[in-house]
Amino acid sequence: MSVVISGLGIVSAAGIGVGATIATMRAKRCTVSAVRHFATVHKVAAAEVEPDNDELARMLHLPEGSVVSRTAMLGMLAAREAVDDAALTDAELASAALVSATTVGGMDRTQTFFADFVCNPNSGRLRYVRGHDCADSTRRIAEHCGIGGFATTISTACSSSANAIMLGARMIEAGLADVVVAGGCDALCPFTLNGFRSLMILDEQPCRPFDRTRSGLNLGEGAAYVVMRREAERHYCYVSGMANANDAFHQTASSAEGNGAFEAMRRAVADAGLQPHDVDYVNVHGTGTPNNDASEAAAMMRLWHNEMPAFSSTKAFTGHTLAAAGAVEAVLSALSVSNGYLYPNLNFSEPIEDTQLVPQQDFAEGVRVDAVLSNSFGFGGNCTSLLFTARPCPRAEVTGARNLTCYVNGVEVYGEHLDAKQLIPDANMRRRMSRCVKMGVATGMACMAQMPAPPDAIVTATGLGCLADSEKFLRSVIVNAEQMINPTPFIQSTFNTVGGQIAIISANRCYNMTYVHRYESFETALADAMLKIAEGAEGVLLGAFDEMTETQVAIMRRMGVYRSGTEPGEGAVFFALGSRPCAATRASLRMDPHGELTAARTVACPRTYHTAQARTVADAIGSLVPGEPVRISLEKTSIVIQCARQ
Amino acid sequence: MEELIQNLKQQIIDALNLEEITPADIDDDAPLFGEGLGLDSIDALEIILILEKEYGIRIAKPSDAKPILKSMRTLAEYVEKNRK
Repeated sequence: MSVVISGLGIVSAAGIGVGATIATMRAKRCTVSAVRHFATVHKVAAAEVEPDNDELARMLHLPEGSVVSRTAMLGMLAAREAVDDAALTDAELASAALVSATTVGGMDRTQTFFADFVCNPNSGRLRYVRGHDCADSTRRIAEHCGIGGFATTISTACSSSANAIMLGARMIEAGLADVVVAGGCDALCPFTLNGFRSLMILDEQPCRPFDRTRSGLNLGEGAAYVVMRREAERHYCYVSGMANANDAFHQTASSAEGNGAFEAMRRAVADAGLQPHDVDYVNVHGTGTPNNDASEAAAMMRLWHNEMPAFSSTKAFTGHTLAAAGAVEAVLSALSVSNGYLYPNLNFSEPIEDTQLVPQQDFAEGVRVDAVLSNSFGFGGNCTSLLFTARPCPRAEVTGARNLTCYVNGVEVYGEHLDAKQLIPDANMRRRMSRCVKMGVATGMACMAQMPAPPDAIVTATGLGCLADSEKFLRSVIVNAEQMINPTPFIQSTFNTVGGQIAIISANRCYNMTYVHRYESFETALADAMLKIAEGAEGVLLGAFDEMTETQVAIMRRMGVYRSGTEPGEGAVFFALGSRPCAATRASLRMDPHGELTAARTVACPRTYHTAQARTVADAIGSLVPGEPVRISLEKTSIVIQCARQ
Repeated sequence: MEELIQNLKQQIIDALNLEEITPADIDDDAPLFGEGLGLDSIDALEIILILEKEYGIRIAKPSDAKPILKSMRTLAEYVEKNRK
């Protein structure tokens, strides 16, 4: 079974659409310039998409006066191009899955709201904050393109959309979907601009990836999507290898040896049954920061030694588009395979001293390109490599994903019984953690301790992530007028912070994924965890976390969310899932989307808070009676649990 | 200089949330990063902010801060020389 890419869509500073993008690259035109679409006190260079919000709304034919985040608009534009390019029928679209990625979601509009709200909690127009959460962009893209099947949102910082493509390909391989639209979108906004500036990794000049004198990245914005399906006559390439590995080193810095990057690249190539020397071109992550490029170069040297394939960073054309970067570069990689393109690495003059690697510097076409490796690395040590090939590669068959039974071999619910000092022994890690991070990490570590062996995957779910950190950071950007901003809340506002910190503490380099799909976050994370088990994982650590803040409650109250009997809530719940039962097994668990299994009773999930699903499952497991299976109705599916001991 | 070192120590303890550490626990000449206090790159950024907020000293690149942030003493000497 092979997965092909049959449609491409791309929007970035390099252009709107595939044609314009390639024309920019062929002309070697650097797109980086001063920020135009919003006011900022900073003199920084960035790569913005040319149309402003009004123009984007017109291009999308949005109704006059509609408030849609720039992130969603960029996503809608790119996803539409991909869907049209693949010439999907209405029936195919209606059942197609959408896996989308974003890190900022509707933060650009939220900031408009917040600027008024910080002065007076009764002011600020609610329409600006309704699309704040990451899932809003996914929902709008699905509606805009008529994509009607399974949908979810991934957020693992700068590797997000590479992970979205990986999930899409895995779903097709396992027979869970026939057609998947996957990619990501992120708009540039003051939140991210000030965040990266507080980390002091922005270059005021156009970035110089892999150059000895590189001194930082240029932020970009954009969106890109690919349409994937089983074997199709007309296609760009095969998606033949994929891997996510964790650097397990530091929340923001990459290890000097590039451990995560090396593992991701090595595993992606092996996943396709190929050898490193089979790779013809590498689209490197190559952000242009001293740390990333040194670490990535070290990892490349470990994989290829002195036989380096052609490689380049395309970030000087697109800027670093964060959650969209993996998909932007997947589109470029697919075109590299289909059209024999090699892209220039702009602004390069001298190699990094230690590795002496010299990137591709001219636009080449008509080159024979059989295999392209694309790297995307994010905060939280999240490293993903995807391998695209001209021919299908034999891959291990994944069967039984649809009717899989897994075992809940441990459950942990956050409470006062958990001793953060013992569970997070490193005082230097603990002291920086916000309440939400500490809650999630302590619960996850306690649950991991119940597992017979280290997990093969760590999958987390959250609705709004570390909200207090996001608020704190946004507030400081507004109140301090972009001056003297502390970086720590920005770093922790990343949705995969909890998963990343668990990987660091447990030195776990395995697959690490985070879902941010509103009230469905947990159920889609569960779907991924079970797919991992179908693929051969023996143990998966699966968890959900969300925190409640005064600001959030005040805004939700104004929106009338609590009028319908919903109450605010928060918590962290983790499960140790296994492929086999053991002495500690608490329950067996099966997905039952069509209600085919019998159950003694049905439990509904309240929408009290975003991860209430996980809490409902934990409580139901706690009150299981032998011989009486329980059905738990989730948002889009249901699961059936029952007592099962070895 | 002694007073400045004490002030800097307290400001660092507060900014970095070094809960279990008192100014007396920090050796004036011990390395702040890696060994010693075990601070990291994010802590360096937070200390750079202290310099800006409390002493009006701006550091443009994190790499410029490396020699300054070797120990409490090197930091205090730099602040003494450059404070506004």
